[in-house]
Amino acid sequence: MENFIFLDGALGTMLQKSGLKIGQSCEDFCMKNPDILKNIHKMYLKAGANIITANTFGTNSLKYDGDLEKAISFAINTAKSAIDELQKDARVALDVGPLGQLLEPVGNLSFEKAYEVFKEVMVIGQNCGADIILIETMSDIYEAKCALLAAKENTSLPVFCSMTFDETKRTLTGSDVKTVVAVLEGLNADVIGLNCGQGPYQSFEIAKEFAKYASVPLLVMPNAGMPKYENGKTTYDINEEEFAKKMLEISNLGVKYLGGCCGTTPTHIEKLVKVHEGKKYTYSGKKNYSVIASASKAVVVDEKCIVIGERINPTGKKKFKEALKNNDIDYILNEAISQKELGADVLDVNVGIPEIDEESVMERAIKEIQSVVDLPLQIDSSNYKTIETALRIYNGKPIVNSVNGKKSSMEKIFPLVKKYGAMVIGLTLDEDGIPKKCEERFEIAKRIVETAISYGIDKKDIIIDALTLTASAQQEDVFETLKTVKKVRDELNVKTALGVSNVSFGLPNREKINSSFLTMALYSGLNFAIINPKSKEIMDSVYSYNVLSNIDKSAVEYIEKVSEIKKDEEKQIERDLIYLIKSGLKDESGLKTKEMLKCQILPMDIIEKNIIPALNEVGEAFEKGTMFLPQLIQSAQCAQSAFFEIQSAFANENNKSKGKIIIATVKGDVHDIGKNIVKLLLQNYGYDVIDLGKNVDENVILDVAKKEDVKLVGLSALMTTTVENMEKTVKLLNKELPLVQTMVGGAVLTHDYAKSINADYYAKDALKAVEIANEVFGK
Amino acid sequence: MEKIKKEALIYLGYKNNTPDEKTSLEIDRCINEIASLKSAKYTYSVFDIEQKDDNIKLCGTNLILNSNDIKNHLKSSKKVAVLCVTLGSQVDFLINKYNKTNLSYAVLFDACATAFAEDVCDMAQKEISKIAKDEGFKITPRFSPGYGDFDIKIQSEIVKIANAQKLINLTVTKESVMIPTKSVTSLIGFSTENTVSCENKCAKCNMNKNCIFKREI
Repeated sequence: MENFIFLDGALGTMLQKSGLKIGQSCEDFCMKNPDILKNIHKMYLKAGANIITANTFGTNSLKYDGDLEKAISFAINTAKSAIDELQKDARVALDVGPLGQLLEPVGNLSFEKAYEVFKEVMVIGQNCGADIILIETMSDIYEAKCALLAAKENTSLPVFCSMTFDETKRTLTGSDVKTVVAVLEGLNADVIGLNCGQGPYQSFEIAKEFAKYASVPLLVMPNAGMPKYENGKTTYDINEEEFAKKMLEISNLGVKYLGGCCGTTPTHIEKLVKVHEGKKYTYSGKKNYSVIASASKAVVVDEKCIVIGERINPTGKKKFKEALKNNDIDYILNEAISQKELGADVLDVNVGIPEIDEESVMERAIKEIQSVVDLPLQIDSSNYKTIETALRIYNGKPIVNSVNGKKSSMEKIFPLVKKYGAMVIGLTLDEDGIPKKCEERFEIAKRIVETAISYGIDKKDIIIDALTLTASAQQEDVFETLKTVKKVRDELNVKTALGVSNVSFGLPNREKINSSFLTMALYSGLNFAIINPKSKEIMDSVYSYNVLSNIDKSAVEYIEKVSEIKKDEEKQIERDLIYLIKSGLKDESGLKTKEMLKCQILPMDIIEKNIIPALNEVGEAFEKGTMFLPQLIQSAQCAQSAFFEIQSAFANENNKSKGKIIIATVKGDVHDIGKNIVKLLLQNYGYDVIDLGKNVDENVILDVAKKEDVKLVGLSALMTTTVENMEKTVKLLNKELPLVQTMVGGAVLTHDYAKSINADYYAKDALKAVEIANEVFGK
Repeated sequence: MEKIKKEALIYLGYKNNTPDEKTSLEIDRCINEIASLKSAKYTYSVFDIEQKDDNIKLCGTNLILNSNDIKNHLKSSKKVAVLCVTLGSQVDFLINKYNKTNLSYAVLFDACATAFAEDVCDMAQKEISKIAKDEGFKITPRFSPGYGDFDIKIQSEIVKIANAQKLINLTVTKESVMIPTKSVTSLIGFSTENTVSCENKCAKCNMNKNCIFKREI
């Protein structure tokens, strides 16, 4: 049994009472009035605080204009001298708040830049003598990860990490407590918890969740209460007594570190300390939940088998390999989304082909997939550098696939898993290959588990893959895999995974064999099934098993998901393609095109006599005001669907494009819907569009224009402030590549402005952009 | 719902026209999806103001408003409420997702989100109006950075004095872009006079000659 440890209360509100104006730099105010700051620290120390936070909450290069080193050392020295002068036995925490900018992809700040900003502050803090680093008031788990890594990689101080939750019991960017605990513990934070956001009454339930899932000591620092605005003043709905009493209930849940946030005063802390007199903290013990997470979704491994979608893997997929070589991320994104829709709980991501830079492709793939799908991901690679890169930028807590029983593999992979936090799959093979019998595979599994533990990895994060053999080659050993799964579950108490597709290799009707094998594996205790969610038969066998094993109570999910498929008769689509495109019927447009190709109609005729005339008609109607933007885009999507069918049927032919065009939203701007509409229409009219995305630096545009030998560059910007960057880009292009033409567009742009920045064309909408392209490439 | 839909249609360029049924149903879907996220947040702080000859000072802060249009807007006001509204990063996540996977839905979703944010502003404004009334004031319409000569570059200061980053996770980049993108900040005066409440927002705008979203008076 130990003592509770008390932190201090609010600094900002206390400074405001002493004359700090809202919006004014509190660093500068304190340096001008050193006694005010020291007195506040002393008041908290007298009230009983064991840890006081230095006045460095916003002292970073993004938020503070002045001399960082001077401000931080002043803050820490002031805190330290308050402690010395009162002769207290207390410690000083470097207070690190959020950077005030949201990280990519939602915001503009890159993970790497944020890391550098945090690193700078923390190194100075340690050098100035801070005893602890307190990362607090974080709303974004990604930013918290960044800060935590900066602290752990650049200092040797204990790191506390605390996040802010709202009434939905999630952080403002949508992470629940399970996710926060999984990620922060995985990154080896020494203490984790919550602060700010709400008062102690509202924080109680959240603290309870933390106590349920967390194994490291906990921290809770609520606001003084919930604010209410009365008679021109903001006050709190509870007083200091009530605050302290509720905090006693919270500490009873198993919370060791207690303090206050906005609105709390030395009186709050005094009463907090007093109410705990004579009471001791009891550690509630290590928790054994196996959890993986994306930023907004946590998956807890329990009795229900978790479906890992295996389709993002180039093995045996010619189209996928092509997409990877061409940097076509859309292919991967579509696979991710369709697997989610078909019931995958987690997605495996493998981009390993020899012709590409696997590390950078994996990094891009993870970032892009995480921006459209909220499922946790499984990082699948045999290259440890790729795994490391992916682990670093992944948002949440992933699965690493895989490590195996070879010494060299474990030596490389386990340190990464320990450092970044992940569940890890261990394959039961070693330097001698894959053993046939269960007992030998079990021995490797045991060795993997013991070695992982020696690296500080907890059992709850280990998954064993007993390796599915091919029935047609090793029929007598198929059951050995299942026996191993059972033995690992019973005797090692770690989780298990299997990729089932291997079992049916070489046999007809593979799905049937896979389904039977999967069912038996589930019965043996399988936790993770790496399968193809697009296979209805396989998914149905999962749902069926859940009914039989009493997991899917009253077969609710089974009834919903497993239905009779009525074979749709191949209906002839009556209407012509022009009508379908004009009416915005996307699926029908694709099917009709397929039909037409089957009837030997030439692609050229389909394009010139149907698709283009339809698009032209819609375009004219849009200009006239009889059709509107949503319809314009729907028709464009229909055309896209039709083109897809043509390209699929004639994959080998080199479809010549009419020309290459770069489009980008300029630096500092994140609005890109207009640009995306332009891209869609340009593609429909036969142009090859290189979309550089948003917030694009002018030098990047220049480099790509040079490399790809591009004739036309389209730039978009939405705001008066970012339009300046458009001018810079045009200037640079005109100087370095005078033969390249530029077209510009965006809500605040006008023809006159375009002229004034020396852009060649002004595109008032997407249709005009097509006209301009036709003019430029028609020459 | 209907109000948000009407507003979204204006942003989509429909003016007073009726959309086709498919689009109409999709818009309903968008609005429901945004509502189901329950991620919209707002916060406001009320400050006494000091009217000087050239500017307005917000008492207790270091913010000084130099814009003539804002001075005019607040001419009979004794206080000002600084309102910050955001739909949250979850909405941006979805806009980003649909941009990559279903552009026609993305365009509808984007317009609906903008309209939804305005609706949250209306709701917050009602609350502020009640507070003003209790103190014996009437309120002015909302006035945001970017209107008239109220320079958009003041955005980060407004968000700072409202403490919006801590309270609702609203940030401003150095180009004055608000992130999450579906966010609004505005000033609402606590006035001693009745201000014209159905004033056409577009009448005083710099862009009202060429704007396709212009409301007819």
